[in-house]
Amino acid sequence: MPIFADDDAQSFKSGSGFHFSGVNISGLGASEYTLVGIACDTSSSVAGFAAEIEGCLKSAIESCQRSPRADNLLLRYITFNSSIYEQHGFRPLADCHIGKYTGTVRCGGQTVLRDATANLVDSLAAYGQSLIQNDFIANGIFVVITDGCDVGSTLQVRQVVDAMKRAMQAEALESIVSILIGVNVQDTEVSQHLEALKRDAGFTQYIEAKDASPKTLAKLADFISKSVSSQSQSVGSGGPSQAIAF
Amino acid sequence: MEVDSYFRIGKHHSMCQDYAVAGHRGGVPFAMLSDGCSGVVDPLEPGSPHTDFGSRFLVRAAMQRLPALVEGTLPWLPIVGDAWDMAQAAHLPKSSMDATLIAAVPVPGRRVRVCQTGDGVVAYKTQAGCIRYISTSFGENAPYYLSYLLKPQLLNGYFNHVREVTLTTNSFYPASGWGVPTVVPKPISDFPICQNIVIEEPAIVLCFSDGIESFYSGRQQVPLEQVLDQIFAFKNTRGEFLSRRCHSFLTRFCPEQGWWHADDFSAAGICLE
Repeated sequence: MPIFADDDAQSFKSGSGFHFSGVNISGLGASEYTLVGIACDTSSSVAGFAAEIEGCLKSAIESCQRSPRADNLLLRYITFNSSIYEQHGFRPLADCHIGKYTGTVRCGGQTVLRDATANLVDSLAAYGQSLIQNDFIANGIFVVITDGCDVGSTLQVRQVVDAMKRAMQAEALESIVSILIGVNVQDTEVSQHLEALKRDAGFTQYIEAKDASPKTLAKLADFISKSVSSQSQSVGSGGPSQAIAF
Repeated sequence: MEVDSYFRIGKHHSMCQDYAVAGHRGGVPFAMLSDGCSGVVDPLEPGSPHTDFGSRFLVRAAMQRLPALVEGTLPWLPIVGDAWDMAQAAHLPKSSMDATLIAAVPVPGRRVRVCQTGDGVVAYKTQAGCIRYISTSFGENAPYYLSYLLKPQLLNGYFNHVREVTLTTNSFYPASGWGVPTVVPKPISDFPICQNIVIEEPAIVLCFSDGIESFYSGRQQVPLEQVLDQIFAFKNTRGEFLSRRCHSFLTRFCPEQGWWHADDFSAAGICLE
C-alpha cells in the first residue's frame, strides 16, 4: 500500500504489464518535466543503517525541492526486498512531504534488485510516453540504491536490458540517466556483482560507497540531488546531462 | 483563467524578431505579442535593424498600460513614446520600433478585448467549440506600425504607398467544418490605427503574428485553417497550455508532415475555460 493518499493519482500500465501510479496528467501545468525514479533496497541486510538511508533519501528530496527546477520534477519512489512496494507514484515535489518518508525503509527479506530496476525504468518510459502524447517534453533519471547482490528476482539481466531498450525506443523520454548506487559495499564479490550489473544492464553510472556513515550518506544525498538537477536542466536539449562526480 | 505565450524563429530568418509574453501585472492578466519588421519600410533608414529590441520594448511599454487597454482607451501614443524612450537609452534608431503589437486582456462580462496594430491573426474558440479567425494584412507588405506616430513626416508617403487593408475571416463549426474564407479589402483611410476587437464569452482567445500564415508543405502554402486546426487541438489547457501545444506542433507534427514556417512565429493567448 502506498504511504501517501493520492487523490489525484491515475493508474498506468507499463510496457511489461505491471501497474503503477502517477499524478493525473491533465492537471499538470508546466511544459516540460523530468521524471525521477528512486528505488531503495529494504532487504534485511540494510537493517543496520536503515535510518541513515532514509535520512539520505529525505535529504536528497529536500534538496531537490529547493532547486529552481523543483516545479518541473515528478518523483516516483519504490522500495524493494522480496517484493516491490510503490510508496508513491509520480507526483510533483511540492506534494512530497518529507515527514511521510519516515518509516518507509522497513527492512526484511531478499533483494529483488533486477525486478525493481525493470519496474522503475518501465514506469518512467510509460509515464513519459503519456506525457509526450499530451504535448509535454520529458526526460528521466532513476536511482537504484542497494547494499548487495540480487536475490530472488524473477527477471534476468536480459529483461532489464530489454526494459532499458524499451524506454529508449519508445520515443517517450528525450534521454534517461540511470544510476546504480552500492552502499556499504565492503565485499569484493558484491562490488563485482554490482559493477557487472551496471555494465550488463546498461546503467549510465555506478557509484560505490564503502560505508554507510552519516558523512558518506550526506555526500550521497548531495550527489543524487545534483544529478537530478543536472538532468532536469538538460530537458529540451535532446540529450542527457553530463555525469556528476561522486 | 490561464495566459501563455510562445515564439520561435522562422526558417528564413537569422534572428527572431517576434516576441510574445503573457502573465499578470497589477492583477490584470494579459497576453501580448509583437512582430518586428525585417523588410525595408523607411526610405530614410533602409531596412529596420534591431526590431528584435523594438518588439520587446513595445510589449514592455504596453504592459505598463494594462488598465487603459482593459478600458479600451488604446493609449498608443504613450506606448510608442515609452518604447521609444527605451530604444533611445539603448542607442537604437526609430526604425527599431517598426513592429506590430497585439494585446489581449480580459474585460468584465467574460469578454476579451484584443487591440491590434499592424498585421496578424486573432482567433478564438467559443464554448460551443466553434473557431473563428480574423486575419489582418496591410497592402504592399507594409503594415501600419506604431513607430509612424513618431515620424509624422513619413505618414503621407505611407498613405500614398499603401491604399488597402485586407481582412480575411472564416469560421469552423463542429457539425460542418470550416467555411469558405471571406476576404474584405478596406481602404486604409477608413481603417483605424488600432483595431479594438471585443470577443464575447470565448473559451480561448489566441493572437498570432503573421508568421502563422507562412507555413508551407514543400513549396505549397498550408491554409491557415489547417494550421489553426492543429494549434487549437489542446490536450489540456492548464498552465503553459499554449507553449506545450505550439512546441509539440512545431517540433513533432510539422517535421512529420513536412511542414515548415518561413517567417517567425509567435502566439499569445488567454484561456477562460
